[in-house]
Amino acid sequence: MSVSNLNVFGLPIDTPLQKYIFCLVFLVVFGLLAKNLVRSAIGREWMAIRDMDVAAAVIGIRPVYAKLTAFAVSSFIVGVAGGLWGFVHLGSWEPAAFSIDRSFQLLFMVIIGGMGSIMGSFFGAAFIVILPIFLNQFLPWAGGMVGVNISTAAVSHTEFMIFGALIVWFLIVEPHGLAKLWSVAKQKLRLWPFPH
Amino acid sequence: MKLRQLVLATTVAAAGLASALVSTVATAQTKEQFFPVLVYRTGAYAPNGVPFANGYVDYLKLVNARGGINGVKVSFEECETGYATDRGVECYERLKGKNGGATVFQPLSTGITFALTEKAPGDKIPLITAGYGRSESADGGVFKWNFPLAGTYWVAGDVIIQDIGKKAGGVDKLKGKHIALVYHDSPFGKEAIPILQERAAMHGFKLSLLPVTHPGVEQKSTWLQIRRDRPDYVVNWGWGVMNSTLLKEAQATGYPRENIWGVWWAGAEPDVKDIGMGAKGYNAITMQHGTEKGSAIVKEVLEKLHAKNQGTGPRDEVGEVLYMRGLFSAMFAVEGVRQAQEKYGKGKVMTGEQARWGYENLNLTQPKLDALGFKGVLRPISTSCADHMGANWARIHTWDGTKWQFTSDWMQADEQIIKPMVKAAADKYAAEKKITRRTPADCQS
Repeated sequence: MSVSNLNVFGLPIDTPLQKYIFCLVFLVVFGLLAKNLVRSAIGREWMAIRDMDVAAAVIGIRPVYAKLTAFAVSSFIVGVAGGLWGFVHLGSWEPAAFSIDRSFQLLFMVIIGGMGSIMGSFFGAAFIVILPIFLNQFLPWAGGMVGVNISTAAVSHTEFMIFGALIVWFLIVEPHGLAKLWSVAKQKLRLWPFPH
Repeated sequence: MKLRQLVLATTVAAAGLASALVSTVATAQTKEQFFPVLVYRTGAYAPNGVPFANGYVDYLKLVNARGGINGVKVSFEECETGYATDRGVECYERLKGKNGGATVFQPLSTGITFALTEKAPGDKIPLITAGYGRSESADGGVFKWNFPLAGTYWVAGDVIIQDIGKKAGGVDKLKGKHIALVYHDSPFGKEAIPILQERAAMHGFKLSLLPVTHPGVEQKSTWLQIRRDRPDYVVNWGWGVMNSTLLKEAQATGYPRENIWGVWWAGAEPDVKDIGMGAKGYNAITMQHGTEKGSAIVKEVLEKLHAKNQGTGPRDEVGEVLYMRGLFSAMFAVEGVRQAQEKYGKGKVMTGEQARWGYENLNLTQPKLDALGFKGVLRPISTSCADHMGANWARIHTWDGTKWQFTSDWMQADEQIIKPMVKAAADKYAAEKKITRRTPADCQS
């Protein structure tokens, strides 16, 4: 399956800048949507079910409804993201593009970024996307400094190892992920050197 | 406080200016022809991807050892795609503008080819898909930037049926027989279907389609079905670990390997070496060449690169089927640039557009190929505006337990069948993407 000549109401989406703006519009809308949902009644129901679903059921929250809506909303958002990824970024795809590796990547984005926070998904996505590119540039350079020739296969394997190690580390040490680390850093920086 | 901020600001500005200057100086100095190398050295397709990559890189190193393309040195950079379309697209985006601009991309994956076919024309970078990619991209009138040099999948499918017919005593003897196509469930595998269906209609044999999902290690149910249906022949359209799994399953179910024909990506050492005698009799089509350890080019690579410890990969891999394919894929890339230099200036670095002209006007005669070291390996290849494939010859080789031996003469694909199919598919693509067929004037440019 492939697509070309993408356009929105006549505006073409060809250059990287146009693609970025198009996706950014979706991101802003969905970001606001998600933040509002989390702060609303249904968001509180989700938080209650997450913390202790038996207690939530006791105080009158319908567990099936809360779990179903959580599933539906997240599936919708991820579906839109998948469509954007396929159409705007790839341009052409086959069923193997949506393999289980892709699902793992999405899972890792949430785990590393921080479960239970909207900010966390941004951090996690940035991390998963940027780490391979960073390793690709950094490892051969670092290897060059030491005199070791690092092949592309080695970079690919290192990526797997780092992801695996990070998942385990985050789940044990910091389940709230990068988002928690960020908010802790902000708190400490507000004491010194940026008091306000 | 103000002074400290001022000092900080000026140092940052100075650093920024210095880095900008350094980067411009660096780009001004690179006057090399840049070839990005998309490889997969990891994943399920690595056993087959690694020898190809080694051959490709070795040839580029050899070009520099021979003195470059009329004096222009070659630079290259590998990028790992893992046979995944999204990583292939990322590699493309990352490398297309590097080092003065990429000359040509060879994705070594039909899936990535489909994706890049949409992007490459916009960025004006040609794509060489020697022996893979879209079969209809042989029609240069629609696919200006795609070059499936030396063969497409429809050529392969056609010649395989011709050989099956020969071994059966004539293509008319195929009437009423049953041929099963075990194919990789991806754009690559699906390319086989149109030509085999066409031939099935022509000769009256039954074709059954058995897809195998990536990565291809789950074939138990497929072979259960084959054991039940007992087709007379099996055509293997696999890649990577799917091939060795297929042969192991055939051995386990007792299906005679003499009745299995593989496509040219399923007929190499990594597929059969571990099975050895168990795969004896397995036939595969070759893209003109086979294992060519005695050829002149192999001797040159061993002498000029491996003897000086500058070779890529192990020495005993040099000359194997996929290594040779990598070698001459790089050769096509380089010879196209050399041809472009004839028109646009010898000794100059060629842009993607200029290289595209080179690939469209490639005229590799037998003397030229022999001089490059490919005597007995390749037949003449010459492309034109209408024909981006350049040659449609193939041979069949068979695994005898220890090595591949040629078991057929040179065979040519039947253009009477393939040409109308290519034109119809290219027209359909053009209508879908709203591309107009190239005018004769455009062909001259």
